[in-house]
Amino acid sequence: MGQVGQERQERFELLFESYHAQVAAYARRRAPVEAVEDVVEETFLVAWRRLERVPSEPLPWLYGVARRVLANRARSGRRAVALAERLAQELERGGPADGAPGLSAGLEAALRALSEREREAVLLVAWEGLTPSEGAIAAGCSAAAFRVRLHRARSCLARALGGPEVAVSEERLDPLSGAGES
Amino acid sequence: MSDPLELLRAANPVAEPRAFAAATQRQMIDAIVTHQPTGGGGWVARLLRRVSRRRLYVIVVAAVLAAGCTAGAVAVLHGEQSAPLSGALPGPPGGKYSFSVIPSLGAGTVGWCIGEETQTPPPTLRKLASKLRSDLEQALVHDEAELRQGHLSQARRRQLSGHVNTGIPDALRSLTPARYRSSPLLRKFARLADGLGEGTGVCGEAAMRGRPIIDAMTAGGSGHHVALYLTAPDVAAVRISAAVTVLTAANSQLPDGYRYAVVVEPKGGLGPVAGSGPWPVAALNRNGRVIPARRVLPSEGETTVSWQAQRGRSAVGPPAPSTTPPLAACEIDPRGLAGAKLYYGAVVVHVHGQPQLEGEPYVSCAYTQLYYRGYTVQAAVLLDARHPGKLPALLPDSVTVRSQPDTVNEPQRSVQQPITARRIGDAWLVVETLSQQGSSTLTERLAVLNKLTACVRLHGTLCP
Repeated sequence: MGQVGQERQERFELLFESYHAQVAAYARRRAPVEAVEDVVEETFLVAWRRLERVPSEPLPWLYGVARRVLANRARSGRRAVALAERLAQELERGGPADGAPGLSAGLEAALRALSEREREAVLLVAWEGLTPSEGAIAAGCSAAAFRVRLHRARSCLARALGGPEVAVSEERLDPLSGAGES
Repeated sequence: MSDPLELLRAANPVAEPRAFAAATQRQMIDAIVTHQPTGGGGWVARLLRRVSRRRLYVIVVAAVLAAGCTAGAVAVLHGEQSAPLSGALPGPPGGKYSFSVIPSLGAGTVGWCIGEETQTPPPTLRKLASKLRSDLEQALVHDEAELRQGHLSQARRRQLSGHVNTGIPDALRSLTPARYRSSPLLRKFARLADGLGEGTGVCGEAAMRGRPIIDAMTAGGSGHHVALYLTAPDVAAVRISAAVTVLTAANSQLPDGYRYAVVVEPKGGLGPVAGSGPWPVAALNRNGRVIPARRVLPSEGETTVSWQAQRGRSAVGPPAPSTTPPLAACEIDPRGLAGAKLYYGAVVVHVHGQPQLEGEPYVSCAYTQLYYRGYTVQAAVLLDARHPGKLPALLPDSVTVRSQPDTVNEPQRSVQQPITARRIGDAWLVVETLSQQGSSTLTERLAVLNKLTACVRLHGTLCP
């Protein structure tokens, strides 16, 4: 391997070691545990192929790739797996399955009531800890569109959970808000 | 804690990301890095080391040429016909694969991207289906009168087993007892399982002397595999083992007269050829002789400078030096797209041309990603890679847009998104547009493409 190839591989290894845990966590939150390693490997395979295109802040970009990998494993496949799991539990116990681990029934129902985009927006912020600007990169939309989705999602969740409408300043969510956006 | 965000944070199912074990990390990195296509030389070299002493599976038939021409010996190449670019996967029925080839859009890159799509129930579902089968069997024991004895007949067991191993949706539909057949959840699962699919794409290299196998890719899940070999025009067959030689075929979807061979892994596997493919092959010419492959280093491409609209923390490598596209050989101007938000991209500083390449590949001179009215737009300027400034070839498998004679459209193939391109002087301005709903329509791509402009600065020419 030439020096350029060696440097490229070292750069990739640093990328993998730095971020694979976060990508694995992202996948685990959205896919069965059996699929996590596959999603991580496929996400970083894309990153290896496109290393020159990986931005200097790679995590939101990696989440975006992982999101598409999950979708590629069939947009419907993810739901099918979840459905199959629920179905298996239902058949096993003769009753409906419980919600996701750690989620109350109310919160899970409220999440399910959101559109897919709104749900992804709120989960990118709540579970992945992204700012709206970073979430926009992961979601593949503009920061303004992401903020709208996030606001709608939080309002819907608050209403569904019986609480007051939430009004939180964007600045608190996104310390980089507005900085450098075109 | 009434803020739903706080409630969600508290209910995070994976609160702390955990790194894989060091050995697992190493395995995954090695698997990813060695998956990189290195051109045909590596495979052929490995193959030659392995099989150089084996007899060639070419039957030489001596034939004396008539009409006073020089008499000679002409070898006749024997082999299996290639499987098609899209077809049925071996193994359980219902599995499908599809391959496609489009130009690589990344700035500085030369060559083609192979897309692969596989539709087959993944192992996760198979495991779950196995469990479902067990549950359904029990349900049948209770529900069906003929099974009141408490056991299934051997024939029925075989039928159940066969169904579950071969086709989950069919098994669910045909074997579900009434009380489950009426379940909307089960019906939904069966419907979704029908459409299961996954796909990937890799971007490789263009043909050049010494590289008869341009790229290769495997489709297929945990069962049998199918491998696509994209070859130079003079490759008549690929030999995988002493027993398996597959003839190449032409296809209008492929560029530059490239040929392909799709090899289906036989039921018993490929004997001494291990792994899930792409398997090492030797490229044969039409006389059955091995086309020599020499070690060809992957092209490093042209020197590029990247930019990123929003500067971020630098975690890997140096940060992009600029927040706007720097002055370079090519320029994509998005000002016509009112409200578009630039994200990032790269440009080639000087385009040198790579005359050692064969065929008529493109080099991407500029690449830009931006967001526009809900679309993620990728735009690129493609030049003739061998002789920049020469009119580049038509995009493979593209058709002229009826209302715009300078514009062509390449429909969606496999997992590759459709692309639409307009001639800008001696270049193609190409767009690939993706909406949240998935792939875009031609009208949507034209709406973006027609508002984008580009220019190419070669040989001292200036952009307006």
